[in-house]
Amino acid sequence: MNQHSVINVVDDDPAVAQAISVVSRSLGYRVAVYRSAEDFLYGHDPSQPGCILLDVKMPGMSGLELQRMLRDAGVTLPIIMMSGHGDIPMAVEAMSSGAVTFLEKPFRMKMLTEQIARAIEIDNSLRDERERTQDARSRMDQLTDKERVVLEEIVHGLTNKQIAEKLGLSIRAIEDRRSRVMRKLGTSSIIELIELVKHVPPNQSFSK
Amino acid sequence: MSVLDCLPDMSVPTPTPEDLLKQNRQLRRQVVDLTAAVGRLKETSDLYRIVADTAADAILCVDEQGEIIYANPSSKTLLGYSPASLIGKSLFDLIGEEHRHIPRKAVQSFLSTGEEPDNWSGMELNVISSDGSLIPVDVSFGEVRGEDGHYRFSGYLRDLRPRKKLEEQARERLSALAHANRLKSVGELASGLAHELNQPLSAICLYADLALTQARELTEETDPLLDGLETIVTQAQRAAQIISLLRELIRKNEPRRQPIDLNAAVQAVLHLLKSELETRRIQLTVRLADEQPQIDADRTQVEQIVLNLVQNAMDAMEDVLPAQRRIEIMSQATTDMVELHVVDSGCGLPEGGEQQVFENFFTTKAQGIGIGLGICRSIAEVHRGRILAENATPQGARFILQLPRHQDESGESV
Repeated sequence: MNQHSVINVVDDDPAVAQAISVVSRSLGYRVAVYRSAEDFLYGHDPSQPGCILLDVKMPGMSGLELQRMLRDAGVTLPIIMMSGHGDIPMAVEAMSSGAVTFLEKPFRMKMLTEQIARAIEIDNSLRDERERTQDARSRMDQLTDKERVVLEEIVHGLTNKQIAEKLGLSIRAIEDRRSRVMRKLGTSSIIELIELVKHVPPNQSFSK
Repeated sequence: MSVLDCLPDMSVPTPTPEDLLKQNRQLRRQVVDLTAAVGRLKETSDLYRIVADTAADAILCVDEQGEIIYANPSSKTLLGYSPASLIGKSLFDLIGEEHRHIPRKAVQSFLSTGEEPDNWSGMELNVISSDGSLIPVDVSFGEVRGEDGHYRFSGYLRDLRPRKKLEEQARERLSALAHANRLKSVGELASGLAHELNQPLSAICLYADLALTQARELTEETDPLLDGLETIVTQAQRAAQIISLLRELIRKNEPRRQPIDLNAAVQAVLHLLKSELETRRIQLTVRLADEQPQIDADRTQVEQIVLNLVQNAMDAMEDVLPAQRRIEIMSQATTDMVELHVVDSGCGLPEGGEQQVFENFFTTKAQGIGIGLGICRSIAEVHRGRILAENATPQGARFILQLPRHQDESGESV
């Protein structure tokens, strides 16, 4: 459980919002309550890890509209959609727009805690993934253009000898560059190297 | 003194031969004129005979006692008796017993006052046909005074069955729509209730569950407190289930969608509301687009929307002078939608009411429960369309219904 995660509750009914936040706090999460979709848009901090518990039916912007808006803006906070009545087309729409789940009110605490845990897990892995990508990119940025060319050939599976022939350089020079690449990227094997390159899209690191 | 002397002098001056010739000429001329007049009279009488013989309505002529002196051929179609067999019968005997006094009184009133009573040209009566069945007819009387100083009356009997049948159909349709509206009202109520009640039930469930979790840490597994808390949760969920069952039950009334013509639905509803519009002295302008694309919709539900919108427009003009009561109905198509506008010259929307008017239980009418426009919105949404309200200029409100155009198999709008 991530103690830093914030459970964002967006529901126009104060009693429901209060109940969800009491339960969430009892589990050790931090909670932020918003009375409307608009309040959430203006008030929330996207850098905070966590998830959103979102009521479908609210005066003003609906839960589904907020979900679409967040998706279009690239906000990846997982969403648990809640509805006063299980409307199947509505649930289908929410799920196909990327909701983690659809809870029909009234729901049990066990359901809520399970879904929150799942949403937080998804958020964490999304954030880890993003962190790894950023880390790989910053390491990749330290490489010189010459080193990058060699990296590209290594990843494509060429041996030192083949690279040397292709680039018209000595095997020795290639070996030097190869060890500098490995050092700068903090990798000790080809497998690690390939794994790292996967996190960085080639067009962003291999400038030609 | 002779007897002749007692008589008054009857003698006339002896006419001269010239006088006789003159008188003779005059008499000859009169005979010619009379012959011509008789000819013209026969022509006219033949003409009227043809009119009476070919009229689709039954025509009976009676004397002052109500005895039939003429019956046209259509009398047989209506009454089942041949015209010849009707002659000599009493008109009043042909009228259903419960109505018999009406024409009798009218004729008596005419004979005593010499004035046509109010119902002279338009009484709804039942006549008894030869097989004993009662037929509703509209009767109009006419009168003519004969040379003998006595009146003859003509009676036009129009069969009301076709009109009654149409009226009956219209009434049935209207009552079917009203029934659908009532069902939908209950559905809206249940849906609103489900939403409103599920909120507190959610809070109850969560708090009880939380209390249960904490109580388990503090007390023995056998503590009746735990049972009590558990019961709160299960009962709250039972309440939620009852509500959802109710909604399920009402949802059975699912729309049956097929390609339909919105204009036809509009015309059907306007036909039903025609007399209501006339009674309320509302001037109606209808401008429906030609070649309107079809929509995929449930015909009854679309008619419900139109009915509710027009009724809403009529109600909005209660306080407007009759001369200024206007409803305009217009349809048009956009690239992917078909639109219907209903514009009234009534009181307009309350301030900030563009959204509110569609909310259930929102009403500005003393007698309203505020569900009609809510029904319109939920039907529109089920059909993937929408409905908007705005104030019209210089006064009144405009409601715009948008429904998606019919898509053929390839998904093309057609």
